[in-house]
Amino acid sequence: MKFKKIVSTVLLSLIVINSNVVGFAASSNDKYANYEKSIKIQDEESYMPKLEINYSNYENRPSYSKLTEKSLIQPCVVIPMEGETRITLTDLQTDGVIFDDDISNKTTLSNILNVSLMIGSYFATTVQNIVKDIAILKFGMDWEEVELTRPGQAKISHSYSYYSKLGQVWNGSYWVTKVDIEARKIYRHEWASFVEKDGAYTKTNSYDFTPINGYNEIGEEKRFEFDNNDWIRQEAADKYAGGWPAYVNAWTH
Amino acid sequence: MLMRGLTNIVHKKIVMNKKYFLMVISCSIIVFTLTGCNNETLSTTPSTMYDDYIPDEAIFIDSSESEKFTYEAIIIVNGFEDKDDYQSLQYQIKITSKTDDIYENFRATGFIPDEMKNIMEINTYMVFGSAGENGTIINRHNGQQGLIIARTTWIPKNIDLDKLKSALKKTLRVKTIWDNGSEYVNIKNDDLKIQIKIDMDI
Repeated sequence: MKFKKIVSTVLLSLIVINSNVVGFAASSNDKYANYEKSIKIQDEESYMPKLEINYSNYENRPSYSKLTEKSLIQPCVVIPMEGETRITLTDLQTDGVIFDDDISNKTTLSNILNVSLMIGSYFATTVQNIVKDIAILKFGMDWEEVELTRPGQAKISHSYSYYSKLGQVWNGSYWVTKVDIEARKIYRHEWASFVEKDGAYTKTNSYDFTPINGYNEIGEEKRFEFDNNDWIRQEAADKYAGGWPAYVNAWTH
Repeated sequence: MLMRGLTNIVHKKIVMNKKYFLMVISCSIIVFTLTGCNNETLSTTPSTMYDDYIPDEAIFIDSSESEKFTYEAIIIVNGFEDKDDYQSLQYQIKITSKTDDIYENFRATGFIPDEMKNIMEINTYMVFGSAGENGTIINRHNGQQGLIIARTTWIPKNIDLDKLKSALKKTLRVKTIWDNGSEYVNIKNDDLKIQIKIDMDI
């Protein structure tokens, strides 16, 4: 009997936990109810990025050792043997989509200055740092001009740039792509809202921490076997020898 | 006697198994809960950061015709420190209440003209403004006159100046929305203040 009671309790707890999760999701959908349906409510389904790779662009392009490295003209041309394999990295592409990560409560700024905002395990900062970035860098203000006793808010989000590692085989005329494994670099984006010292205006601005601004990615995610060049070469050779279509492991295509 | 002893041993084993079973279940739940809370997988739902939705029934009026707000737009090129190949581009829209009405949950979104898409280096989103779930309050009685929304980004230094000027002069659209109301305006060329601090490769 005691055993049954405990099992029942455990099951009940699981049901309660799940219903809380469902309830939270439903309540977060209601958050725009006051906006007279003017604000688009995002599809809750996971977004599937779509990007195309034109493999023909890489059929005769020299393979790069690094993404940023420009290809060098070789002093002499070595014609490969048919069936020879190589690794080529494609150019970075972005789908332009930003994903929400962390947002602070909108409340008196001084109360949330030390609140941490995170992009998964890749990046962490504080509300104060974000507001400083925006106020000083983007509005050209002094920190003393930010009103800490009025409401403020900060938000952090991320975007991706995608690239592929191609396993290619020389078919006698050009390099045929037989393996395509994708990786993606993660970039951060910040947004802040605060009131200036005289209290007349609330100010909002955003900042993209991307290579153009001199910022590197905060992390990188890779599909399985991306770093295994031996496996990629072997798989490409096998696919070519067997006349099979390319092996593709990617988020975007 | 022997049978009773064996029965006791079997009974104890069953009790032990139940305890072991319960321990495993409890541990599983704890691990499941903790891994759920500390899920490192990043969000896969696109941001709803900016309110870029324009309903079919929205009617854009000239910003100067607004009876509720004054819209002041300023665009500054090269106003900040430059990078090797890039210079800054700032869009800033100041929205000031004209009346003593109180606007709760006030939010604003600026729409950068499509012509800028081929010029801006980070052109993956062409809007800027309020974000988050809650808007701000505009209440002139308390000295809260309005909202300033801004976007700072980068454009190449080697851009053709005429092409840039032409794109900057295109109409800026703005959506404002608050509890129980909204307004859609066009800020046309004549009302745009454009400052180009020349340091361009032209």
